[in-house]
Amino acid sequence: MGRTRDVSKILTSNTSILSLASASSTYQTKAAAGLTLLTPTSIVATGGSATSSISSTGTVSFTSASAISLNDVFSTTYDNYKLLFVGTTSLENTINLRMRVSGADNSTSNYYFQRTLSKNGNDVQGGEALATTSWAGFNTNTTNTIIEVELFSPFLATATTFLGRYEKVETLATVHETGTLSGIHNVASSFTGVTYTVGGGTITGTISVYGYNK
Amino acid sequence: MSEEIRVSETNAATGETVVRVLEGSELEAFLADRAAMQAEQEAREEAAAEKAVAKAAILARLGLTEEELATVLS
Repeated sequence: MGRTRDVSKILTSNTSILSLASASSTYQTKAAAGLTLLTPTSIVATGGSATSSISSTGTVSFTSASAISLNDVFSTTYDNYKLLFVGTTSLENTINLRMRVSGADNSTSNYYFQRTLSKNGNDVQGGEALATTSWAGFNTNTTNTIIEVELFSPFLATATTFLGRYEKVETLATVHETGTLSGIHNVASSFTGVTYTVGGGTITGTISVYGYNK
Repeated sequence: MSEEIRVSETNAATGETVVRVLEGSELEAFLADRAAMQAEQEAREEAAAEKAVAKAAILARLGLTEEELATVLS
């Protein structure tokens, strides 16, 4: 009886004990299946007047950044991820993706990718880039750009691969471009983050990273 | 005078943001990297432009328009 009373006293007086109710309001729930929106441990915005923030659900918002980095968003919990970008660039340009670990970009010449794109329904182009320092080729504009990337095995100590596509629409009737990309970082390294960067001008938008439940 | 590049790091747990300015070798590395990215992009654009010229020459030789080619490929 006395022991039960002691335990009861511990539970009622120690408010730092994690309960089912406090856990559900404090931590993100791992969905049994499907996608889970992830929160990076921290974000780094580079640029003269860049501002950035992380929403309570994990989506990253930023304005006028030369580069936006998400730290510690890939982990052993998930093998594959979906990355969604919605935004614009200050100049018509190209967004480049780089893998990241320990708070630093991997900018070695180990990024390989190819791209096909079509403009306005009839101008089709294709090309590839070998041993470059990022996955480039996500063309952007100042009005409306969306980028979807499926990232495979970034955290696993194996080569990281991706399938991606983008769309930029200036005026539906005049400029409409869709591109499909795929590529590999051909070193068996474990990455925990990613950087979106641009060669000229700045990026404004949001990035959401989802983990595919195993 | 070199460009000022600020870096702001926001911690998701605390919400704290720390802002610093890139200096010295870190700034040099950033500027060099940005220039390299721009050069890579220009090279890709140049290659695409050359390809477009070659494509136009082939279409002219065949007597086809872009729209006709698109119809053939669709």
